Amino acid sequence: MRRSWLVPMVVAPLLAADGWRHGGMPIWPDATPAAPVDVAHPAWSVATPGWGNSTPVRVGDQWCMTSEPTWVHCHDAATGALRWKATNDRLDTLGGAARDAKAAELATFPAVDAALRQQVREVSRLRQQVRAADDPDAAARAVSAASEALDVTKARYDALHAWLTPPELDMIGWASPTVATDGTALAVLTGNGVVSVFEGDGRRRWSVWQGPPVRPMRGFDYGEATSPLWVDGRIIVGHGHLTARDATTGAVVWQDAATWDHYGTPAVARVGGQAVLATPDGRLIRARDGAVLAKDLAALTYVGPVAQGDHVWFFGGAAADRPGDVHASGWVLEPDGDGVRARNLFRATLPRKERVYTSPVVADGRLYGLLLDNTLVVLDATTGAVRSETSQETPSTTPLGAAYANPTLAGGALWLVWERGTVRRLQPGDAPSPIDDVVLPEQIRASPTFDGRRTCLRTLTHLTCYGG
Amino acid sequence: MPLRLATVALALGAAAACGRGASSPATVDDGPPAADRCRPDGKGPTECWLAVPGATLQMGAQAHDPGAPGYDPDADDDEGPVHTVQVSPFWILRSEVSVSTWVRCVGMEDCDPAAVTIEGFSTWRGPGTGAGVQVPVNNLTWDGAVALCRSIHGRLPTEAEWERAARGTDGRRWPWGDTAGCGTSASAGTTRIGQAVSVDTMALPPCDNLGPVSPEVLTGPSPVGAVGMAGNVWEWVADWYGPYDAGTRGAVDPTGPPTGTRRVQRGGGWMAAEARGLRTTVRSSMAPDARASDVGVRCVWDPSAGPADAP
Repeated sequence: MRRSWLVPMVVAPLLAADGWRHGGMPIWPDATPAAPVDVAHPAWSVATPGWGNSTPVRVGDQWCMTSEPTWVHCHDAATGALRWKATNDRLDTLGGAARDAKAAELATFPAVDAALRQQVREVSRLRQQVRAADDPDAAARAVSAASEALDVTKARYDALHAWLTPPELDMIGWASPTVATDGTALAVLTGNGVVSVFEGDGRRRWSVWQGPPVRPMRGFDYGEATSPLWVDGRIIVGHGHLTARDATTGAVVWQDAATWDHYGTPAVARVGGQAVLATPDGRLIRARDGAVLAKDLAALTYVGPVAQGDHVWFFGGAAADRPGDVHASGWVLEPDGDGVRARNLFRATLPRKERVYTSPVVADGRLYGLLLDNTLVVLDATTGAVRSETSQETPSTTPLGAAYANPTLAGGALWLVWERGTVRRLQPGDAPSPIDDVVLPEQIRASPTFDGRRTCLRTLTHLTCYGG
Repeated sequence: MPLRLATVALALGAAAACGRGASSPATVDDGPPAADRCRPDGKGPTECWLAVPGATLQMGAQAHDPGAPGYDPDADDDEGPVHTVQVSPFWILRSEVSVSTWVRCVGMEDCDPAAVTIEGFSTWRGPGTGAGVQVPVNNLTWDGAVALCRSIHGRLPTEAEWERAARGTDGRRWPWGDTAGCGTSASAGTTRIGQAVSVDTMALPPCDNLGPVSPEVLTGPSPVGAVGMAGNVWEWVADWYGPYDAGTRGAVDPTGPPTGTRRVQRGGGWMAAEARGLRTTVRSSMAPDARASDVGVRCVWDPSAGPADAP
């Protein structure tokens, strides 16, 4: 039986001059969303090429995102009309004659697949005939030889299969990572290990294969949720190993030695003029050259840290922890020669029987974190003191289900979004009070996004903007 | 001659580094350490030891006489004659031995990596891989299986022990009962041959599987609680292949012919196109040095075994 298939999803982007989740904080300071969301009267709604979890990112006048299995697509922000879509397959890493040759080779896959299955049936048939054979020993050896030949065919099958578009994969899927942007172009990672940069008009700048799908990933059969980052001309990708690539060429600038086996995305802090990545496993890595500047700040399996300027916060737990403890910590990063040191603000433990699948949001001296049991926790962002813990479940509301979207601040409200479709606005503060609830017509795992007076929500198979 | 737990009492010392089962000293009741035994609630590691009570059972099947014991219309001639055997208590692994356990064995130099091939359908991909992988190790020779079991204080089951564990005492055709099938349900990116499951389960995997699967996705445990005794990989047993002759009927803890050219494999494997090939009485065989990607092993506990033993 598989383990729980609940998975943390990626965070809503900031307005993105230098990439998705600059500082890793889902805050929309310029948004003035019409509220409550008028679910019955969207401004527009369009179907996506496939289902998906990733949060839309604004790239120029477009909303861009990924969909299963390996689609990347951008929509006109005003009308929702599809501007362009492309695949992010391993075949896309080739061009010209090499691509044509590989495509021709891949066209043989159905025949190889059929041959493989026929060989399997033949081995099974030979095995059944052993006992009745005139020379059973020879017949048994024939079975073994046929099995060895089968392995050769399987190797051929595997070699081709590795280049195919993967079949859709439930829950986590291949396309959970949110795209990153520098404001005009976008970077994409899908779980098949392909990393790409596209120009805003859909032209492919480059595509590379960073390695096979990560399997198993902490017990899951495939699945990737770490999103790429665009930081100072580098695309930071957590797949296999945390890798920095030149945004112009795709060439590897540095690669971290540690195996990347986290679901969360690093946060980007700014310290002394340099970008520092805070990783889910509690390390600080200089974005420029991959130097590890500090470690053991925290350990998160399912979510990433958040950052704002030179402050970093961790909120959540690790798979190896005693079940349910939620650990929170806050740090100030300070220059230390050419490096950085982390000064601890607080460490706090909330002994709970629950996990955290969403990164928190920090504003006005408060950290807002949502637990999987739908308890909203408010901590003092400097001391870690608990301001409130409030269950969001009430007898009068539709059961919420799980939340994968990140708590988000926009229009003076705290937005919480649950998979079953409830979108709740609360008044920020030490004890947030509900303002209103609406229920969307479809499941949603992406975080809310905003565009002036519009609220744009990516449900599993649609992108819909309300208001404005 | 395999040791019999009912007749031997051993004081066991610690074996600090012999793969699975080495977490604590063996107990004096000849069973595996308590920490390595399967829990009644079904939780804990899949590769745990199940207690199998001793029993008298009808072994084999026949397709000639519907009115006679052991009638199975699909039975091959070598599944008979149906005969009574008495099997002493023993412990058996709940699942087939995993790649992870194989990797530990190789790492401890108790297993020869050459005993397993590493291409194609092989579940082990060579040195430096496979730690933590719970899919059964396959492409394993009989000699390799012996060494692997020894490394975890085990040995190969006899054919009688295997059938006792797979079939219980009620003569069922498959470990879970008398009906089976494979269907056409989808599953995460893979399809499944030979993973026959009971029609009572939630979903029937397709009948065109490719490769062994993790025991977590198998259903239909045997009467003693073992999983994967039908399909996935054939399981080497200790016996030489030969007819069930007068020497085995009515025997206590039979061990099969004294010599032969091929060793028995039981349980069926993932290549089987039909559920009839996965019945509890089906017998297959290969030379001890042969290997196939649908062949693995399941061990029984042997308190006298250990990685220091000579082959």
